[in-house]
Amino acid sequence: MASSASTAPAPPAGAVPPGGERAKSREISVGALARLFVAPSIITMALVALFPILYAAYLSLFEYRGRQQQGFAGLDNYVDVLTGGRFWDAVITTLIFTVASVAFEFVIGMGFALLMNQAFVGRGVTRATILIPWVIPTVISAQMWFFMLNVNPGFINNLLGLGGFNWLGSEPWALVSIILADVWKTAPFVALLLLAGLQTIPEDMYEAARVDGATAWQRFTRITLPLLKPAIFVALLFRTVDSLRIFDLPAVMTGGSNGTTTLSVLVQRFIVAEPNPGVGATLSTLTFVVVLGIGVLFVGLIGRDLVIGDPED
Amino acid sequence: MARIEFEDVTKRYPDGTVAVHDLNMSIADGEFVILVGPSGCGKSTALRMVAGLEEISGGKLTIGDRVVNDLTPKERDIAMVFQSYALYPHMSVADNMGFALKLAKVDKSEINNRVKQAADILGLTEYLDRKPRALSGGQRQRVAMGRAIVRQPQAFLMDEPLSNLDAKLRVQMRAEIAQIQNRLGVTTIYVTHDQVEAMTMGDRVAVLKKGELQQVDSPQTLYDNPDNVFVAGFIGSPAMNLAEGRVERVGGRLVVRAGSIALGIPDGAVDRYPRVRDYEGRGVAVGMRPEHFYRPDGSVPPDQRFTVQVGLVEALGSELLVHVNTDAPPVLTEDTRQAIDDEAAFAELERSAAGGQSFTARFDPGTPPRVNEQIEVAFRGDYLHFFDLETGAALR
Ligand SMILES: Nc1ncnc2c1ncn2[C@@H]1O[C@H](COP(=O)(O)OP(=O)(O)O)[C@@H](O)[C@H]1O
Ligand SMILES: [Mg+2]
Repeated sequence: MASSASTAPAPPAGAVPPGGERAKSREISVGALARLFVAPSIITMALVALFPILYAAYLSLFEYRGRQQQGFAGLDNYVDVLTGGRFWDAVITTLIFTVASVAFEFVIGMGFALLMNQAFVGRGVTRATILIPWVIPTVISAQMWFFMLNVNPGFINNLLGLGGFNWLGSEPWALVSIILADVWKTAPFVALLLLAGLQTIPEDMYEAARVDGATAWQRFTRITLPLLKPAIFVALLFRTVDSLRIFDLPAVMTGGSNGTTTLSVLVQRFIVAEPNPGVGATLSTLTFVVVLGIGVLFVGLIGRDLVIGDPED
Repeated sequence: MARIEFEDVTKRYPDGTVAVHDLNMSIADGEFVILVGPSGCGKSTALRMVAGLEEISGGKLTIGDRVVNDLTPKERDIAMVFQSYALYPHMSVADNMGFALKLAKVDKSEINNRVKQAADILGLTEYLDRKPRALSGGQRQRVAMGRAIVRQPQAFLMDEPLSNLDAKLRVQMRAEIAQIQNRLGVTTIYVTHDQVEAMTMGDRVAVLKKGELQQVDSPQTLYDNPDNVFVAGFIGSPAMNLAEGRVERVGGRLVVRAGSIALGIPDGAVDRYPRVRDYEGRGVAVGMRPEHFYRPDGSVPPDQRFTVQVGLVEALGSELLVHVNTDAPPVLTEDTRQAIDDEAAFAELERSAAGGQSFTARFDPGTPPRVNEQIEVAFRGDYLHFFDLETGAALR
C-alpha cells in the first residue's frame, strides 16, 4: 500500500472512503497491470531472441572481405544469395529433409503412441526405453550412424549383405541416411507428444463409439484423430520448425557433401569456413524468414482455432 | 425391440473379482427394468455385458431371439446412455445424435428427420448446431438421451444417467425418461443406486448385492414384501428400522421384544410372515418402516405403543421425521452393512450397538416434539416385517 501513495496522488484524507476511490485514483487499468507483469519476460525474450535476429539482419547489409568489414552494401548480399544457386539448392535439400523426416516421424510416432496407449504387460518399461534415442546427444548418435553406415567394414552393409554400398558418399543416399538417423532419434519424441494427447481422450468416448457401431478404423478416424488435433498440431509444428534448422546430423555424417547441404550447414560454411560474415548473416536472415513463414503458414492453415480459440467459445 | 434374458450370467474379471454371479432374469419386450444396489455391487458390469463392452465369462445372454454372448456391440443393436454422457466434443449436437445412423449408412434425409424428431421430443431443436461444451449439464444429458432415441434400437441401456445432475433437474428428468420410455416402448435397463429413481421409474426393480440378484419385482412388491433383510433395508426412504428382537408368547399372543420395546404381533403380520410362529423363543430381525409409526391417542392398546426419547426432529413441511433413541439392538449382519452402504454410518451403528439405536419415525405434520422430550409412539403391528437373523431371509 505504501507504493500506491507514490504512484498516484493521495486523496484528501477523509474525503472519500478509501476502498471506493482507490482503483480510480491509481489510474492503472487491469490491462496495463498485466502488461507490466509480463514486461520482464518480454524484455528477456527480446534480449535473447530478438536482438540476435535484428543484429544478423543489420550485419547482412555490409560487405566483408575475410572477417574485415568493408562498408555498407545495401541489399547486394541479398541479390547475390538469391540469384546464386547454392541458396536455392540448400532450400530444396532442407525442404526435402523436413517433409520426409516429419512425415515418417509422424506415422511411426503415431503407431508407437497408439501401441503405448494400450494396456499391456511391460508398458512402463516400453515407455522408458523408447525415449533412449531421444536422450542421446545428436552429435553422438550422428557419429554412431556414421560408423554403422561405413562402407567397409560397415555394420549396416554387413547386416543387409550390401557389400561395399556407399551410403554417405552418394546421392541421394546421403540425404536418405540423414533422414533415417533423424527419424530414429525423433519418432519416439513425437510418440510421447501424441501419447500425452491420446491419454486425454476418455475411454468412454471409444465405448460410446463402439455402441454406436464404429469399427476400429472408424473409431481412429472419427474419434481419435479429431480429438488428437491439438497434440498433432503441436507435434508437427515443433518437428517442422526443428527440422528446418537441421545442422548437426549433416555436419557430422557428411559435412554437407553429396546433396546434404541444408540451410544451417550453408550458414555455418559462410560464417566459419569461407569466411564471409556478411553473406552468412544474409543466409541466417533468409533462413529465419523461411522458418517464420512456414510457422505462420502452419498456424494459419491447421492451428488457427487452436491458437486463437474456437470462434464458438 | 426385444426381450432380454440372462441365464446364469457371470462376470469374472482377470484379477479374479466376480462382479456378477449367476444372474438369472428375464426382461419382457418393452419392459423398463431398474437395476439397483449399493455401489460396487455389479450393476454397471451387468449392463456393460448386455452392451457388449464387457466379455461374458459364463452363462447365456439373449437379446430378442439371438444369443449375443459373442456378438460385438455393433451387432447387438443396442443404445447406451453413459453416466458421463460420453458426448463427442468435436461434433455438433445433431452430429452426436446422428453418428450411429451415419455409420450405419442411413440416408442423409432420414438421419435429419430422425434427429429432428428426437430433438423435438427432448426440446433440443434450437441447440442442434451447438457443440456439447456450449450446453448446460441438463442439455447434455438430453443429447445423450437423444443419441439413444434416434437409433430406434433393440434396447436402451442407461448407467446412472442422472447422477451428474442437480437434485431439481434429476427429479424432472426422472419423470421425462420414464415418459419417453413409455411412449417409445423400447426395452430398457436402467442402472441406479438411487432408490427413489428405482421406486418411481420402472416396471420392475432388480436389487443386486455383491453381484447376486436379491429380488426382482414391482416396486410396490419390493416395498411391501421384501425377500430378505438386505432388500428391506435398501428399498424405502428413509430406510426401514431394523432391530434384533425375540419372539415370545405372552398370554396366548405372540409378542416381539426388542430391548425394552414390546409389540404384539397381530394376525395380519402373522399372515404375511407365517413362519414367525416357528421362531417362538428365538431371535429374529424385526423391521419397522418409519411411515408406520404414529402418535397414539388414549384408545391404542398398550402392546402397540412404547415410550422413547426424541433425539432429532426434521420438520419437512409435508411430513415430520423424528429420530428417537431406543435400546433396541441393531441387526449387525453383513446384509445390513451392505444395505447401509456407508462405512462411517455402519461404524457408528456398531459403536452404539450396546446402547441401542436410533429409530426414524415419520409422522403427519403437526406440533413437532421437542428434542429430549419423552414421547409415546405407536406402531401399526400389521406392517411388522420379520427375517431370520442368520440368513436374512423373510419368514414367509
Ligand atoms: N475392470 C475391472 N477389473 C477388475 N474389477 C473390476 C473392474 N471393473 C469393476 N470391477 C469390480 O467389480 C465390481 C462391480 O463393479 P461395477 O459393476 O462397476 O459396480 P457398480 O456399477 O454396481 O458400482 C466392483 O467390486 C469393482 O471393483
Ligand atoms: Mg457403476
